[in-house]
Amino acid sequence: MPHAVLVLEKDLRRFRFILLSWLGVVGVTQGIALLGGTLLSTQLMFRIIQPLVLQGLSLLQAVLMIIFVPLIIQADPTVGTTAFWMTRPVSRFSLLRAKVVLVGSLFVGLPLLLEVVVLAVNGLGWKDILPAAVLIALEKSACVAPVFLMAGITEKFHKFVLTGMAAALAGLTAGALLPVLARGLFLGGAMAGRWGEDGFLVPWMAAASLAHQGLMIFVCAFLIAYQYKTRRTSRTVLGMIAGIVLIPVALAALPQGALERRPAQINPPQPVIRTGRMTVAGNRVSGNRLTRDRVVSMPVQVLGLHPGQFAILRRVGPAPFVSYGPGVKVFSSGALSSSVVLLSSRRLQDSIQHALQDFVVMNPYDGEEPRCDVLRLPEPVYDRYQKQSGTYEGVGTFDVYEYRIGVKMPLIRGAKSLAGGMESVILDVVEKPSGVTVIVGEKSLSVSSGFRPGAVSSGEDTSLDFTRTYVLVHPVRKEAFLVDTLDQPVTRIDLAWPAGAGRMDFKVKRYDFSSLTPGASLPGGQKSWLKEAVLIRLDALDRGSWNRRLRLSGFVLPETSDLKK
Amino acid sequence: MKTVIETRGLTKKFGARTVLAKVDMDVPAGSIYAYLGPNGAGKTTTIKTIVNILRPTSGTVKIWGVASTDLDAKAFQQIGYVSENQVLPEGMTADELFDYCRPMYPQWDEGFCQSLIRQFDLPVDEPIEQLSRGMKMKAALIASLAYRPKLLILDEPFSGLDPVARKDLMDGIMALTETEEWTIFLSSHDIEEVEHLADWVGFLHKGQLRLSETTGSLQARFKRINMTLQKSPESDIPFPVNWLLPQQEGRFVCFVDDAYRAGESEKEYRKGLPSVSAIDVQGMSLKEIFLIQARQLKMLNI
Repeated sequence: MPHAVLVLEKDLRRFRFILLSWLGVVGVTQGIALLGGTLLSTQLMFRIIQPLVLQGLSLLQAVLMIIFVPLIIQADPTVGTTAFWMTRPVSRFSLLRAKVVLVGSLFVGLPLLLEVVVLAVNGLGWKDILPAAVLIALEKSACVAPVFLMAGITEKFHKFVLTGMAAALAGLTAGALLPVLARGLFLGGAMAGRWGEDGFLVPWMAAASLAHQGLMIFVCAFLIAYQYKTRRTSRTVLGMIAGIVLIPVALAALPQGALERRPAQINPPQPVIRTGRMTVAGNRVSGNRLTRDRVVSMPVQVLGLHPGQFAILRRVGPAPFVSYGPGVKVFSSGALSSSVVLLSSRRLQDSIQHALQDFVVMNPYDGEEPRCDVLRLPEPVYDRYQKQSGTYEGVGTFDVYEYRIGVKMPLIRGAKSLAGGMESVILDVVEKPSGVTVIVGEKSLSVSSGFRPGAVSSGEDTSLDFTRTYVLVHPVRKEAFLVDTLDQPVTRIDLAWPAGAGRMDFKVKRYDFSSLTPGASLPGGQKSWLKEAVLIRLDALDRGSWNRRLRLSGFVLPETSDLKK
Repeated sequence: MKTVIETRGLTKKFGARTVLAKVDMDVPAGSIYAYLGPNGAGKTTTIKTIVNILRPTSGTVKIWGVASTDLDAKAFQQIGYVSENQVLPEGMTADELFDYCRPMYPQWDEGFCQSLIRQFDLPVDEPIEQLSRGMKMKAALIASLAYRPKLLILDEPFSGLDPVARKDLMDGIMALTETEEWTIFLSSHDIEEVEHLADWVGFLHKGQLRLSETTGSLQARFKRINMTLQKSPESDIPFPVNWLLPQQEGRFVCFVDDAYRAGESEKEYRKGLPSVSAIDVQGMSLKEIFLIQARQLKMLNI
């Protein structure tokens, strides 16, 4: 009998309780995930509890993995001089094989298998499952490999914990500092994207993440093999330190070199503002104070942006160095509240088109005039400005973004993606005579002190929506359909994050791809078309902020009395 | 002489500390080699280097002519190793331990294993970690004897055992040596416990091998010499330098000769001290020899 099998049998017998408990935790996690597709769309309580339970179980899985892997590895340590196997006819590679098989099966193979089952039950085909399985396997391996390595170079659990903490700290520090240094020294500019073989844009971040995982696995596997072959722990530790330093540098340097560098990354945008005719769009209620605000809108053009970029007017403030001339007034400090531009799809089309490249973006909202809320004035302030017409100057703060493809999912209920640090799941696909409505759940974590645990709110998620939007794509016809980013019906649930002040957002958004113009009509009702359709989430990449002088000529506000009605 | 273990210039350093210094040693096939020395002399380090647990800093270690660093799984099928420090697999009973070991050795003798279990009265159904130290050593010994290895390496096997367990183990090894053609390499800091077993001895002191020979040859050359002089000398006698720990009290002189040769040595003694009237040559136990060695080295500040 091969000696690796003997060691494996011995470990299986010894760690049978570990195996069973691990199987239980992973099984329950995937069971809950499996129920998610059905229950999320119907059960509100399940919406609240499921993310929390899944997060808790994920945390538990991580903790169990960190405990179980060292137990298995350190049962036959390569460090020290007292291990039983060292004087038995068990070769080092037999031992390594046994440990890799056991750890790999338990902590990579088993979860992978269950996740594949979940994907299959959710209706994904093998074409989608296979690449997903590779990604999942990479992700799991990238988590297990460093733990395996740490356990391989330590004899006792407490030493593993100390070494692991030191390595994690060093890794985080190096990961935070070295790419910045490397980019500053060698690269400059932000990340771009490239086209993949399947015709979809492979986002740089996804490529970087894959590269990171691949490098991590490669370096750890090499060091583990070296440790088992030579048992020269001090050299393995040196190799590990080298890996901690080199991986972030390699990541910062290698993938970007292979990517097309866009002019946008070489020369930052120099936006110039042109304003148009002012209108007062209506009045709004600010917070709970029942103070009425006047929102002053006008067309605003930001010129000088690079292809694919769009700008958001975040706020308008007083200009500090205005040259006073005849009739020029300055927006006074405190008189203006921050303002965020509301954009329709029309405003974003160019950027979306740039991100999607080969695809023809069908825009049903073509012809809509973009609205831009420049000023939001409390009623007393509005009254004051109303009496002081003329030319005003202020400073507009612009945030510049561009879209990249974050996630693509088949248009199937239950399809899920974890890419981009946000979990997106298609909760439902409602076919309509003129198109289709897609209900998407988005779960994200953020640090916030102002959350109200358990609070459920419904409304329109307007201000944040430009940061991500969805397009419905037909891969063969190379058509992409836009959805209006305005007035998204959203259900938002605040959940207490066990770690402390934080917010777990679970948003249920409804994207209606049915109100289309005749020229870009979605072949509604054609189920075969929908089966081939892919939902793409576009994520806005922040390209920086710029302050530019905003000059509003002929600033004349309408009579307030008209608006009080 | 066919050698099983051969070390040449074996040196092991831990940082700046030299634990073994150029040890040259030959362990002949079929011998029971007692590797002796005080605590901290470097015995365990030597053994761990022999079985490739530790890597020599310099020098070579060979087993059956193969460098210890190249020992493969097949070689370990012929080597038994029992150490006081060895950690047996946890969570197993003795029976499970033997089940685990059995397939590793094609020559595993189950009948022999069972007879050893009976001989040692080992409780095979109890988890090993719950066994007493003596029982653990017995389990380890059975797991190392049952496949009849050609080389058995025992590192302080009797250390910390109660007299009953020690006697059981020793009897077991003694009984086996009568029937098997094994080479046993046995380390100990307690000479008495291995005196009856060993036919070769090596004495390690501060990482240096001070002697390595058969017990017969050692005991033949180490003699306690008691001499009676015709009259008490008026002044101190200038003792020859090769007389170890010489003492004089009146007409009586005693010392240890580490190079005694029957017949010839007496003539040399008389040449050195013409007034000798009687010479009494006494044999020495291994313990006495090593105490003398240790004392001599201490006097020389080595």
